[in-house]
Formats: sequence, structure tokens, C-alpha cells
Amino acid sequence: MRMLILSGKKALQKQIKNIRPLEKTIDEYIKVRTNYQILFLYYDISNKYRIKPVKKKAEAIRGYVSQVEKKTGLFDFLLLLGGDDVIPFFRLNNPCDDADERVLSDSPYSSRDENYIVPERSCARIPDDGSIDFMIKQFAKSKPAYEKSFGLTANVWRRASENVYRPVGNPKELKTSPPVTSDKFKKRWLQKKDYLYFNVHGSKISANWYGQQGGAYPVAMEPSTIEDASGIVASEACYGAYIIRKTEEDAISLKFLDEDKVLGFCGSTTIAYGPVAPPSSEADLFVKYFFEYLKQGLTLGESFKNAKLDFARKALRRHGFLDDDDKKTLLQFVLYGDPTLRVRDVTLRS
Amino acid sequence: MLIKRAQIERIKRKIAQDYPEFKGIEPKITEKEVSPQDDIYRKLKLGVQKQFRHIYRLKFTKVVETADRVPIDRILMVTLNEDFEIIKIIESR
Repeated sequence: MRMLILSGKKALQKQIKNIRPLEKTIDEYIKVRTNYQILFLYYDISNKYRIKPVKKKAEAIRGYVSQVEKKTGLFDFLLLLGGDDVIPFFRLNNPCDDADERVLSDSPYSSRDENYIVPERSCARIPDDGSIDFMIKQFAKSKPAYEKSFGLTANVWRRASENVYRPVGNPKELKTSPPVTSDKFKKRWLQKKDYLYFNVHGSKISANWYGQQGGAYPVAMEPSTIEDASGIVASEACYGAYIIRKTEEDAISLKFLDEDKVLGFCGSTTIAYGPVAPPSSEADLFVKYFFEYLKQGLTLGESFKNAKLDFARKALRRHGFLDDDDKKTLLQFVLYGDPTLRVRDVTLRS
Repeated sequence: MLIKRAQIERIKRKIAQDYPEFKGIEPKITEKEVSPQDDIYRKLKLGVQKQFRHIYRLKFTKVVETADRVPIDRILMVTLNEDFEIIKIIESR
């Protein structure tokens, strides 16, 4: 398996100042991961492959990845190192008629042609969170196998959520909000778990996630709810993976990633959709497939890519076409964390 | 073919019954011709689809306020096929 780790040196330095300890960590990571052929490059610095450095523009960086592939061979994994200020998200036209002007997406980075909907590479991102410690931590994640999961759903979506959660946990054990609210949330629910699933409301301007029953929208959880959490996190919340100008204090996604035993975070950068009841579609269907592949023992990156492929195939078989919501779902979900990790590994590396 | 008022009213009644929070909201109606998505079929190694499809969307929207006073857009979308049958109902998360 081949992986390209890509960042922008100047932009990264601006975010985390001294980048040398991170470079050292990546060098160690490459040495330890002997089953992978890994290249670590900066898109804005000349290298031995004589690829012309490019500016901090999403399309130019995507072109840079293509150039690296032309010179060195195809990559199975692409790991983007840094947040939007280091490697910008693509701002794609929103296929849906909703409040999002653009869809923040990493999908074009995962595609070799102009059809961004269908990925060819497993693409993930390690945000910088303005902290070198946060970034270094992502390369040293491990957790024991606990054989336990946790799921939280808005009360109104209980039936739909049970269908998504079934591959990784007992649907009857799903918590619902209400009655669960942030002040009743037990931190231990997130501890010693393999899979963490959330089907709740989210907002671009709030740090919190919300439940729903009828017209009541209680705060279901907030960043401070998370302590010693573990596992892979998949969230369907609107803006669950929106991290621009956010930190671990006001983004649940970054707070999860700041935990030593949270392997990664899969979520949506914009308004996401799903059904009230089975059959699963949109965000529900995507997360369900993601869980199924993780459960089979695939890496986070492979599970993420395969879930998108299966999602597209399923939608085409159901209706004969991908509609606007299907397309938005495929573009808006992003994966944060090391894409080579597996949930079922007991010890990942020293 | 234009969707008839009676068909819209039928869907509004269903939404009011199954999704009471959207009761009384007038949907925004759009129709769209979906051209064959050959490139997607090809990339997924599926047989190429040649058919044009016609779909209708009824979008119900409202803004709600959470317990901590954050406004949230609530969107419910109903998709109909050429025969005005509901093929999908989804909500914003």
C-alpha cells in the first residue's frame, strides 16, 4: 500500500510555529509503518522529484498530487496535513437548495478525474487545531479492543438510527435525546468503546449537538462532555466536521480528535440529510456502510472510500440516478485522522 | 407534466400527519430532469444508464430554536418520481 502525506510548509509553520518535532514524528511513523510505502512532501517546497511547487490553492494542490503520482506511481491513501489554512477544503457548488452557499469538501483530492463524486483514493485529513501537540498525537493513536459501542440519536430518529447502529452495536442500547441532555450525559458512556455513533442536530454557529422530540431541541452533548473517550467517531450532525476558525473548545470533532484513544472522526462539513425511518438513505446509509467496513477490519481510509462507492451504487440501483441530496452527501462527508488505522487493532505501534 | 394542486395537497396532508412539526408549511416545489449520469455509471463499472428521468421536489423549511437559543434550519424534502409517487422523504440533521 502507498500513501502520500502532504502539507504546505509555510502555512503549517504559520499555524503551529516550530514544525521540526512534527517532521521528526512523521519520519518515525514512516520508519515504523514498514507495510506501507509512504512519501511525505510539502506542496510549496522543491523536492527530489522535480515537481514545481504550487500555491495554497485547492485546485493547484490537487494538481500537485497528480504530478506526484505521475512521477512515483499511484497512491492508495492521501493524508492531508493541516486545516483549511494549510490545505484548503474545496468550495464546491452545493447540489442542494439549502442554506449552504458552498460545500466544503475533500472529495476532489480523492479523485483522479473531474468526477469528484466517486473516489479512487482513500483521503483523510489531520487538522492542525493550531497546535503541534494535537497534530503529533494523531500519529501515535492506539486503543485496546473493547468490543463495546455507544450510540446517541435524536429521539425522533430512533428507528432510522437503529438501522445504522446495528453493524456495530445493539440497537436497543442506543441512547436517545431527550431524555438524554448534556447535563445528564455520563462521560463514561464514551469511554472504553470501539465505535461512537451520533445521529443528532448540529449547527455551524454552536459548539453543541442537539436532540429532538417534537418541537423540543435540547442540548444533547457539548465539547466538555468528552473525557477519555475512545474509538472511531461517526456523526451525522449538520456541520459535525465543520472546523473553520474553530478549536477543540468549540468543535466537538476537534475535541474528540484531541483524545488519545479516539482514532478518527467522520462527519459532515455542511447541512446533512437522512430519513426518519428505515430504509437508510443519505447520511444514514453512508455511515452504516462505513461501520460495516470498519467492522470487517478494513482501515479507516478504506472503509471511508468503500462506503462512498457503495453509497453511490446503492442510490443508482434504487432510483437509477444520484439526486442532489445523494451528491451532497458524497461530497460533504470528510474523514479526520490517520487513515491507515483499524478499529480492531489491539496494539497499533509502539 | 406539471404536478397538480390536488397531488400537492395530498402530500401536504401526509407530511402534516407523519411530520407534524412541518404542518401548515407551504412547500417550495421544483421539477427537474435528470440526465443520464454516464460518467458515474462508468466510474462505478455499472452498465451505462441511458434514460432521462423526471423528478419533483417539495421542500418544507422552517427555523427552530434550540434549548440554548441557537437557530437551526429544519428542512424536509419529499422526492416524487414521474408518476408523482413518493420515492424519498428526508430531513436535515
